[in-house]
Amino acid sequence: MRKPSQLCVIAIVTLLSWQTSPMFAEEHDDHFERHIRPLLVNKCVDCHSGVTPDGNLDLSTRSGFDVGGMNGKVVEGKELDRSALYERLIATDDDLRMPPENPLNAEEIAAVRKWIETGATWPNDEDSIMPPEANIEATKHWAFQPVVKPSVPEVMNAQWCWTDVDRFVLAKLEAEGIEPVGDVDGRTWLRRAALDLTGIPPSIEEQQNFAAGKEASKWKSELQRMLASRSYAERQARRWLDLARYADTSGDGTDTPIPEARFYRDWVIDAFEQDMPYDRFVTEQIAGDILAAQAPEDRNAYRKTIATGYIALSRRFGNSKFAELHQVIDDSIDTIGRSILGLSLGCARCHHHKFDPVTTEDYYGLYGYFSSTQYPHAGTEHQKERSDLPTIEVPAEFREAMDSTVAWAVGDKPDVGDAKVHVAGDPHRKGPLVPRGYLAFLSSEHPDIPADTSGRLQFAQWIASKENPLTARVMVNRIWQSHFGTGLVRTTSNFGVQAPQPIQLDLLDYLAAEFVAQGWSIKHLHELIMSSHVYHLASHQQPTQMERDEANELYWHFPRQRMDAETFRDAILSVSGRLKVGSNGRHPFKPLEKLQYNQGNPFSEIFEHEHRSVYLMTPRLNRHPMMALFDGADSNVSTPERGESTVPLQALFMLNGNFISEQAAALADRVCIDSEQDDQRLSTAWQLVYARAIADEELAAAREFLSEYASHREERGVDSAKAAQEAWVSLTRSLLASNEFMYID
Amino acid sequence: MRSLTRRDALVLGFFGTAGILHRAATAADTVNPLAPKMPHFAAKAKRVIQIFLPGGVSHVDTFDPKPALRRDDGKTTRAGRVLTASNWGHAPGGQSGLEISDLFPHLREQADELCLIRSMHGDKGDHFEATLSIHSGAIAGALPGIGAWISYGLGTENPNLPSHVVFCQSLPYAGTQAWGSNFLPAYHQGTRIVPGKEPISNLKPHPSIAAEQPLELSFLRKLNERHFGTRSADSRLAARMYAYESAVGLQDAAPEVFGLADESEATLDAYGVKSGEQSSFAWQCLMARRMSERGVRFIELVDKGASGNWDAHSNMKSYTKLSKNIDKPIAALLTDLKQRGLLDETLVVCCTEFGRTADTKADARNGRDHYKNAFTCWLAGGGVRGGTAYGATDEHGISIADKPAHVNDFHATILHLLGFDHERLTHFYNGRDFRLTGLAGKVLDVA
Repeated sequence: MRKPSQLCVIAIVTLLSWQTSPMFAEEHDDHFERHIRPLLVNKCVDCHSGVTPDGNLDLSTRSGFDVGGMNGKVVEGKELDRSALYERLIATDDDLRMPPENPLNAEEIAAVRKWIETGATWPNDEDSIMPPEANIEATKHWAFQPVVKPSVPEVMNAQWCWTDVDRFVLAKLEAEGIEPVGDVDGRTWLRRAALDLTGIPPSIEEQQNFAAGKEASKWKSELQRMLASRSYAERQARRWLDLARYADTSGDGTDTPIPEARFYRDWVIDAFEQDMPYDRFVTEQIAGDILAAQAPEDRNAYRKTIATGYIALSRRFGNSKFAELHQVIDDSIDTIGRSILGLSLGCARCHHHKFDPVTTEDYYGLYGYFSSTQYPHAGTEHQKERSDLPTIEVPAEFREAMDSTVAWAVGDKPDVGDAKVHVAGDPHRKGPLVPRGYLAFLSSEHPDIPADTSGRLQFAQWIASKENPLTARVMVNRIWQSHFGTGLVRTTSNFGVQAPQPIQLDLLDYLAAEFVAQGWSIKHLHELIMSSHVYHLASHQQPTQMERDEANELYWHFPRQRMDAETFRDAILSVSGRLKVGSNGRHPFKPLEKLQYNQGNPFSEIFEHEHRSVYLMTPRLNRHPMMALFDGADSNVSTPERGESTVPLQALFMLNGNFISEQAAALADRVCIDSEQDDQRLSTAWQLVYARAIADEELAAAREFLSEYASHREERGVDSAKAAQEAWVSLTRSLLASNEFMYID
Repeated sequence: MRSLTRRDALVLGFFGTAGILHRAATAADTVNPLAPKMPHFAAKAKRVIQIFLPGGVSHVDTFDPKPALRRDDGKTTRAGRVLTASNWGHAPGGQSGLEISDLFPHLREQADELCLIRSMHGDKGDHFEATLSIHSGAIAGALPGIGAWISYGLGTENPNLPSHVVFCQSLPYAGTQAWGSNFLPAYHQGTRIVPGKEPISNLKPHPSIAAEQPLELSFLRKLNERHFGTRSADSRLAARMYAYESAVGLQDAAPEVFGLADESEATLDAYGVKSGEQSSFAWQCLMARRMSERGVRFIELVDKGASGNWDAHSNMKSYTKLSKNIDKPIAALLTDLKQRGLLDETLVVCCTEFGRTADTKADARNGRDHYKNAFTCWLAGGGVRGGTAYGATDEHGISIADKPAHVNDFHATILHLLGFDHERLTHFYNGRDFRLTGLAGKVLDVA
C-alpha cells in the first residue's frame, strides 16, 4: 500500500537533488535545469504526460509544450499576460489553479516568470524532459545498491540466538523493546515445517519417528529428510509456477490447450528436487534453448530447451496467430521483471516509468531480445494449426516420461536484431532503434551479443550474475515469505522506488550474500531460515506486543498461516489416504488434431484427479473451481502472494460439496479399518488431521457426537451399521472443516 | 442434550455456549460481528445498491451529452486528435429535463430520480488501478472496498444473508480485490454470486446429511471454539467460524430469495426477466430489490467482466448492446423500489472507473480512449435530490467547468447519506487510522 505522503517524499528528494546536481548545470541551460525541469517533472507531468494527458497538454516533451493544450499554446512569445500556463499557476480560483494541490510558492512562480520572460527556452538537444538522468536520485534506492554482506549485530540476550538470522531479528526487537513470544512445541513445529516445506501434513509414522528422535539432532535431520523429498520439490515448484504465471492453455480468446506445457512444469519440479543453483535456474528459463544449441551432445540438452517454457508461456491475445505480439512480448518482459528482478518493467512500454528509473529506451532495449525470439503457436480461431514448437531429442531412457518430439519453448529467429521504440506504446508508431541492452540504471555495461543470436543468453547471464543487486535479494525475500507468510520486503515482486527500505534490510542482505556464497542453493537457504529460533517461535499473539507491532513486522511471533488452495486440497487428500503419488501424466485433452477452439466456444474443460494439485490442469480462462474458491493463483499474471478470502461459499463447499464428502468418507473408512475401538479410531483421526493426540474432553465429546448422530439416523430408519458409518463421515467432515486443520500454527 | 435445529444453531451464535438456546438482545451485539450498528448521525439511506459498469463508460455518449461535439466534430484538439461527436442523440427526460442520451430511453424516463454527478474525476487512467480506486479510493494497490467499509460501519439487518453481496458473472479488472475486505475483518468482504443455473454452489446438502446437519454444525462449532479459546486475537479464525453460520443462514434463506414464485408477471415483464432464467442483468436487478427488502446492506451488480465491457477503444457501436442490456432493468429497479417505498431508504449508485476522451485519434474515430479527468456517475434514491445534475464539464466534456467531484468526494458523499462522517469511519491498522477517503474527500451537496 503506497500512501501519498511517501510519493511526495520521493518527489521532494528528487527535487532537491536536481537543485544541487552539478551535472545538469554544466550540460544545459542553468535556469531551466535548476528551476524549470524539476518543476515540470515534479509538479506537472504526473497528469500532463502520457497517452491521454490532462487537458491534452503534454508537458513532458518540448513538442507537447510547443503544441499546447485544448486551447492552443500555453506560452505565446515572452508576454506573461498571454501565457495560459502562467495564468493557471497564479489563478486564485481553486478550480483553475495549477497544480490543483500544493500550488507553487512565490519563488517557484518567480522562476517560471523569469523563464517565460527570457523566451521559455528548452534544452536544444532533447525532446523529452525525462531522460535517463531524470531519475538519477532513484538510482540511489536501497534495492539498486550492490549487496554487501553486513556484519552480524550485537544483541543483549545472546543466549536466545541460535543462528545469525536470530541475531538480526533480535537486535531490532531489542531496539524496540519488544520481547519475542515463547517457543512452539515439537509437534506443532513438525506440522508447520512439513506443510511449509512439502505441503503435506506429517504422517503418523513421521510424527512418531520425530517424537522418538534424539532432541539434539532430530530437528536438523527432519529438515534434511523433508528437503530431500519429491514432495518438497512439488510444493516449492508450485510457488514458482505462481510467479511464472504457469498455465496449460494459451490465454487468448480460444484458450487453446498446450499439452506440452506440463513438461516445463515438471522441469521446474525437477530443478527444485535437484537444488539446481538459482542462477542456472534463471538462465535456463530465459535462454536454455541457446545453451542447448551450444552443446547439442549433452544428453540433457532437451531439458534446457524445455526450460524456456517460462518465456513460451507468455499470454496470447486475440483470436489470430501472434495477434498483439507486442503484448505477448510485454508479458515476457513484465514477468521477468516481476518474478526475477522485482521490477514492474511493463510500465515503460508506453512512457518512462513514473517512479522507477526504467526508461522507454531501457524497455525497448529488452524488447529486442524477444522480438528476435520465435514464440510457438498453439492454434487459435483463425489459424487453427499449431506451429513453431521447437523439436527436441529425448534420449530413449527418458521417453517413457516424456513422449514428445516437440516442446512448448522458444528459439532464436533467423532474423535477429534491435527493436524500435513504439511511440507511446503504439506498435504502429515507430521511434528510434534502441540497441539491445541491460537496464541502464543497474549497469553501465553493454551486452556483447553474437551476431546471429537474440542475445537472450547475455541478458539472462546479466540477470543471474552475482553483481545484479536485485536477483538474489528478490529470491531470498521470496523464500523468507514462503516461511513467514510475508517477505522482509512486503511487496515481494516490487523492489522499485515505491518499496520502502525494509526494517530488516541487513537481514535481507545477509541472506542474499549467503545465498550467492553457497552457490545459489535454495535448499541451503531453507535450512538456514528454518534452523533459526525465529522459526521456532509460537504463533501466540500477545496483547502487549500486539499494541506495538500488530503487523508483526519485527517477527516477534510466528504468524499463523492459512493453507493455500493447493496445500488445502493436498492435505485433505493426504489425510484421507487418497492422494496419488507423482504426476497424472498427460492431461486428458482431445487428440491434437481435434484440439481446436474459437472464441465463441473456447476451451472450458476442468479435469479432476487425486494427484497433487501442482498437477492439476491449469486453464487461463476457467479456473479449477476449488482453486478459484480458495484464492488460487491467477495464471494470467505473475502472482507474488495469495489472497486469503473467507466467505460463506467456502463454508458451503466444506459442508455440502461432493469433494469433501468423498474425502471425509475415505478418511472415515481409513480410521475405522484401523481398529474396532472407537477410542483408538478417534485417536488415529486426530493424529492424522491435527498431528496431535486427542484430549480427554475431545474424546468424550466425539464419542457423544457419534452415538447421538447414529441414534438420530436409526430413528429415521437407517440400519445401525450404516448409521454408525454416517456418523463417522460427519465427524471426519467436521475435522476437515475445522480451523485447526486449515490454519498452521 | 436435545438436538439443535438449524434455526437454533443460527440464533445461538458461534460465541454462545451450547445449551443456551435463546440469547438476549444485548448479547446479540457482542456475539455477532455483523450485528446492526448505528451510524454517526441520522441517515438518509439504510443500504446501497451499487451498479458498477467496468471498462470506463464514455460520459459524452451517455449521461453528459455534448451538442458542441457535433458542432465541432472533426476539429483538431492537438496533434493527431480531433473532436468526435457521439453516435447517439439525446433528449430531456422527466419534469426536470435532465439530458440523457438515446442509449438509455428507459432510464431517461426516470430522470427525476437521478442525480447525475457530471464532474467526476479520478487519479488513475488504467483499468486495474482505477477499478480499485472507484471501489476503495486507493491510489496504489488494494485497500478495503466501499462495500466492506459500509458493512464494517453498519453491520447488517438479516443475519441469514451476507452483509455484502456482489453479483458478478465474470471478474472485472483487479478481480475480487475490488470488493475485498483487505485489513478490515474478513467477514465484511463481498460474497460473490455468479448469475446462472447455480448462483451459489453447494447450496443444498445431500438429502442423506441434511436432517442431521445441525448436529454436525454444533460439533464443528465445538471444535472451533476449543481452538479459538487460546487464539482469540486472530479475527480470521472468528471470520471463518462466522462463515459457517452465514452459510447455514444462506442455505435456509437463499432458495426463498432466488425463487421468483411470489413475483407477479407484471414485475417480471417490467424488468425483462424471462421465466426460469437466473442470469440476465434484469434478473440481477430484481435480485437487488429482493435482497434490499431482506436487509442486505450492500449489493453490487457488476454488469461485465474484464473484457467485452465499456472499454470502447475501437468500437463505440458496442454501446448499443451494452446499454440495451442494462437500461430497462435499472429503470425497472428504480420504479419498483419506489412503488414499494424502498427507494427513499435505498441509495442506488451507478459508477464506472473513468470516462472516455471526447477527442479521438484522427485516423481511428470509432473509439475513445481512457479519460480520468471527467466522467459521470449517478446516484438515485436514498434521500438524494433527483432530477438534478451536480457539477458540469465544459462544452466538449473535456475539462470540468463546475464543482469538481473527486472519487474521494463521491465516497464521502455516499458515506454521508448513510449517516457517516467519512473522517470518523476509520479502522486502526498498523499504527494509524485508515479511512475510505484517504486523506481527502468532501461531501457533495446532492441531498
